[in-house]
Amino acid sequence: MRDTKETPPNAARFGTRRLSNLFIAVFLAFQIGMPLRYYFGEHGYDERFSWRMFSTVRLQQCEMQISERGTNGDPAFREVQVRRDVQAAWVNLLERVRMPVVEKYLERRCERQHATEVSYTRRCKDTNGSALPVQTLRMDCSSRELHEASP
Amino acid sequence: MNGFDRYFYGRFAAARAYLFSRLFLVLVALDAWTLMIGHAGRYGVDGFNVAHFAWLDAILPQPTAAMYVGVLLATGLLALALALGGTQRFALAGLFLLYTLSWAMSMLDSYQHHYFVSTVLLCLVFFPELRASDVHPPEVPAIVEPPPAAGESRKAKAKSKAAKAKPKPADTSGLTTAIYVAVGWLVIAAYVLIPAPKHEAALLCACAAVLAAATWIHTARRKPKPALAEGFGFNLLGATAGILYVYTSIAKMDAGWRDGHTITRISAAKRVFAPLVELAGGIGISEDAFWSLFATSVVPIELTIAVTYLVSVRADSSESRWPKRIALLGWVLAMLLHLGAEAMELEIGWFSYYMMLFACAFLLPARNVDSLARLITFPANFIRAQLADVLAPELDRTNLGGTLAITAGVTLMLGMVGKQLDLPGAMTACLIAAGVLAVAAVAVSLRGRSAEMRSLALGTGAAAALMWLALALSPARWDFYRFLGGDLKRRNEPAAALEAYERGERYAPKGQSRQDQIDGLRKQLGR
Repeated sequence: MRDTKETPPNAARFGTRRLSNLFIAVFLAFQIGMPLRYYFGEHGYDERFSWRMFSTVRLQQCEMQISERGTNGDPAFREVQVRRDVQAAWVNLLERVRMPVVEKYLERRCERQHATEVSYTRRCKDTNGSALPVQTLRMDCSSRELHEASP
Repeated sequence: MNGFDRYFYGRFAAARAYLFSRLFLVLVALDAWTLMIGHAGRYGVDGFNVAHFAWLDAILPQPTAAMYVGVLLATGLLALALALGGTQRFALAGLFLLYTLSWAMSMLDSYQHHYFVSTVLLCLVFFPELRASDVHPPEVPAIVEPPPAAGESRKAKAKSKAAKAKPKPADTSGLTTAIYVAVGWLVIAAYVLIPAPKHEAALLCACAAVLAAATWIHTARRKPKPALAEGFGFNLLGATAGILYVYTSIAKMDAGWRDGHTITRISAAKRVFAPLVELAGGIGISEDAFWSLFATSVVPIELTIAVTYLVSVRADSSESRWPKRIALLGWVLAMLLHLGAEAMELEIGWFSYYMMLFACAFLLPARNVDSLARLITFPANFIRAQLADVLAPELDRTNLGGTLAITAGVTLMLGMVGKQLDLPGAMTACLIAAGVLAVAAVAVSLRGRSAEMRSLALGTGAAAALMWLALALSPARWDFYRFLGGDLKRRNEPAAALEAYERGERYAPKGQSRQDQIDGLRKQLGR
């Protein structure tokens, strides 16, 4: 593809060509690399920056439950009324397993309610109505470590 | 010169960059004010927040509704001031940071298209800085011959008539352009003002068709080649759009999308395309098969659009006709895709509008885009001509007082608008904007560039007035207070909920009063 004669490209107005080229290369690498992080990483439910509009992951119908075990010696887990605790929009993000939100919310429960362990359980149905495996995460309040647990 | 340079530094029709940047900035402003502000009540509730980036959590204070509203108002104000007063690289960089802050401060805003808007704003920083007169130099008015004197001879009269009848150059037909611009703005006004809640997509299609016909006629009457410009931001943005479409098509390659369940669940597609389903049934295609075909067809369409965006960047600087033809194919597909998305009532904010603007600016033939740009350059040139005395560069050094007086007037106006908006954070945002404007006025004027400052100050003043108008005409404040009231009520804070509902009631659209909620809360509180 040849350029028309009257249009000689000239980038002199935008600083040195080398700096501009560097910016273009970094920008494109970011645009291509960020979505690839989703596909090659372990970001199954975190679809930010990956251009997955209308993805089936987002459309799974999910319910989430948070429960905690207190310091009063009772071994049973007690359910947390999350909607009473934080703004309802956070509940949607918890249902979508947005991990930074899950971690921060469980930490908050550990800090505020003197719990020893906080549990997060999520039950989902796929877009075709079939049930997906139940996911359970637990945070040990003394170490603040989050780990997968059997439901 | 290598292929990289030819691609990213190739020239393009100036009208493309001008039309895209101005309309995009207007869309950003209206999006921030009329759609995003409504959800501000979510911010800062019970001290819980997670930013999109952990480092932001570390350096930012806990976001509040006032902070979020303030950032959005300032974002919209700056975007519209730049659209009206002229784009400037440093201010665009500031706008990119402000807008990015608006969504990045909290995961409560997880709309992917807000991240996309940030990407576009960053590219705009490297667009050419164009004025209306760079795209379409103001048309020189024809010299009017004085009427022949009473005693003038017939020969002299005929000579005078012949002189007037001399053919004008093709590009000086101001009347044709004025008619085209008037028709264009009438069509836009019709789309904005005609209420069609159940037929919005049909109205959009009808208005787009009329505008397309008017543009086609106008383009056919004008022969000169459009002016060209350069600035790698435009080329980079075209490539970015290509990358975006590649990934959106990849996301739709999974079984869930291809079997058609997703598209029927997220939209009104089943209702809107019911006649097509019936038609397909008539030729033996089952409903499930139809939706699977329908959903799967989006994948190759998006991949094709991606290719056309990548190629379109070369359309104006290449001698070959193929990039132009491929781009035009992309425009048809992109418009079908995004008009279809609007028809299916997908809840994606203004994403379709952003992408239709993209398609028109990047994929249409340059001469058509040049005609469309006249809808903006014509009134802009007219207004600039009326304000010639105020914006004349020769006043740069002589009229410092005038510049400061205009700026002072605009800062005062910002304060008044901030008070009138009746939203948390509005006054602070307007006062900060006024302070920045005042500092900029002094700094720029001392450098002897008062004309630019006067233009920016007038743009900011107009933007402030339009901000008030946009919020007064849209349900943004009503949404803000009713959502806030509802949330406070859910969390058992009746006094605060009552206050929010009562405040919102004055902005309630007809038939949407929350008086029953107010009465219930008053009863609960014993008032």
